[in-house]
Amino acid sequence: MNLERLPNEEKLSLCRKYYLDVKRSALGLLLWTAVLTTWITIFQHFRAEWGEVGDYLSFTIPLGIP
Amino acid sequence: MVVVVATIKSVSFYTQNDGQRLIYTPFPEDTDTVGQRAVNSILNATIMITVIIVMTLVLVLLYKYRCYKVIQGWLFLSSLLLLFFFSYIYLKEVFKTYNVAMDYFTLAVIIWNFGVVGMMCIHWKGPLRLQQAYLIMISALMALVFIKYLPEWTAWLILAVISVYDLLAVLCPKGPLRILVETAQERNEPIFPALIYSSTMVWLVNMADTEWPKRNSTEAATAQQEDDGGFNPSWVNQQQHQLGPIQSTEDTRREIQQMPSALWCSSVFFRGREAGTRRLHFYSMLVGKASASGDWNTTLACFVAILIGLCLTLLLLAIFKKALPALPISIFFGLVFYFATDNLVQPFMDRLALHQFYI
Repeated sequence: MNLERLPNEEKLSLCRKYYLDVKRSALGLLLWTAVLTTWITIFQHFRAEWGEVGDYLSFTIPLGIP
Repeated sequence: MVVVVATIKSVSFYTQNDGQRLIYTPFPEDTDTVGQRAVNSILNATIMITVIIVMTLVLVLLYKYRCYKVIQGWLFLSSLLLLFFFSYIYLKEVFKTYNVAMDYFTLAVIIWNFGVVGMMCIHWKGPLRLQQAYLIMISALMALVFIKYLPEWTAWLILAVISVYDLLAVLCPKGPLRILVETAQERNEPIFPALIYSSTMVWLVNMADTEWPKRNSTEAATAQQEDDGGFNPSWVNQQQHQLGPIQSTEDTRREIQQMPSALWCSSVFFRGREAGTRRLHFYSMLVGKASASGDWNTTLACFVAILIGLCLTLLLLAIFKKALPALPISIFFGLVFYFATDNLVQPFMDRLALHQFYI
């Protein structure tokens, strides 16, 4: 599919389709940022208090006193 | 290059010698006598080089007998391993050093995304910059792994021997790379995305250069002179992909041959900047080792040496208009500078600082 040879309307519809995808992707990004930020804040805050579960969930455990 | 240096700054984690060795280097280096150590490192280096040569030959054979599926599968697997496993280890070390807690969930998300996007970029389509970035990151990762697991003298020896081998393999008529390229030419095939040379999963795959000519083929034609100049760096880049981490030498080359000559305007420039991945890998290894054992002066000197070597190689390419391995010159310079700086300049500077004597 050569971009230059498409008639204008098809180009427009193509643009619209891609734009929708971009919008959906942006939505997904927002959603994921929200989810991850909440989870990370919760985790970092309560990690020490959760005791064993916190350690089990942790990938690296920092040294020192929390 | 900058990414390489940045990664190298954090190389400190990788310099801890925990006694673990790659299976390719079975001889330890903390032996008692210097002579023993030298012999061991020579043996190690020989083993590595033999492995590399065998890999190249296997690849050439596979290619000759049209076992494309094997090659593709191999590439796929190795890039998979690299993207996921090595980045996992890398992140682990980074987090440990900065004493940051990280949970498995977030880590899984990060690594999954990184890996999947990487696989897509390399083996499928993706924005060019992203592909380049990925290739750079992958070579840096590989270099780090090497630095960690290869004992000192072996690493230096390997660097030296690889350059020599590169020289031979490219310029001699019997060299495996030559055979590969010629076979490709005879068959007049479209570029094969990223060939792999090594049988171990440790080696990397590089698609950048393959994609490069494809994308650049639509650029405007340039003067004949520039074409030649453009042809060579890309050829060189392919040579860089010879062994180890990166691939696609043949591909890029074939592509170049297939394309009309008038296409290399921006590609000339880009080629100059976008070093072959394997070359990048070995450069970063060199600078990494320099930063690990020396201090800033040495690292800077090595960096400068590599850049100078790169420019010289490009120049030579333009003059000779043939395929030239870019590895030897830069690595040679790098090595010379490293050892010279380490042994001569450093004590000199220290003395000066000690006596507060400013030149």
